[in-house]
Amino acid sequence: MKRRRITAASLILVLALLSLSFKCGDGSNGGPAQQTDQVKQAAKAADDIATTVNAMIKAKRDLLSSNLITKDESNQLSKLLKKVNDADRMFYNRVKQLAQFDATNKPNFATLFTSVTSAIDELNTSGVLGIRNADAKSKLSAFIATINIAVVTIKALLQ
Amino acid sequence: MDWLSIIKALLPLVPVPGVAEAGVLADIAAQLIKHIKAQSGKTTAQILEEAGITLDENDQMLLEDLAKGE
Repeated sequence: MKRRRITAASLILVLALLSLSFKCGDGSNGGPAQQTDQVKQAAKAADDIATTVNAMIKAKRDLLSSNLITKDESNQLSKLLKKVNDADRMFYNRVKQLAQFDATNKPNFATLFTSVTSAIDELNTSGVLGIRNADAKSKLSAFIATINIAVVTIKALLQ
Repeated sequence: MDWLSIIKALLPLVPVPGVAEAGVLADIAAQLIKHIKAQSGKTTAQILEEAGITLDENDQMLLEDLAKGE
């Protein structure tokens, strides 16, 4: 009975995680043969966001182990970082399938990117700015600033 | 706990590519990992490997943290 429950739980886990798989690579497979520089720049910037999220997760872990943030603060950051990562993954995957931006598809990508910027704003306002320790808040704010550089790049490409 | 009811409730959420839904699924997955770990003593990496799931590093780290409530 116990084994059956573990098997059932594993099955649910598989179903839940299948939709979460995210790989940022060099785009050598699956994408169009020729992409404009603008599309490549947008993909690179989206990948930069994922890389910064990765560094921020590691920093969050260090801050928790140093007792500079609480477990609740860490948990809140994890939830918000997940939103950013998911939104960025969706944007990145769509861009990687694109050959070029044009007047027709730009508004759609701009709308899609709004999900990313909203998640980043929420990470900042509901996560980082609520951190009580000033040093920890400062360190985490630096990651938000780095992410926002990539955001500015993508917004410019979508105008 | 009726696992079939959970599966029935979860299945409609799985194919939805929305950000909010993905967040819900992540919470569910984290809780399931926690449950399986408690019952089997396996690590998160072992559970994912046995399930044949490959996640990007960000997702795996966040799921580990969420499963620990961190």
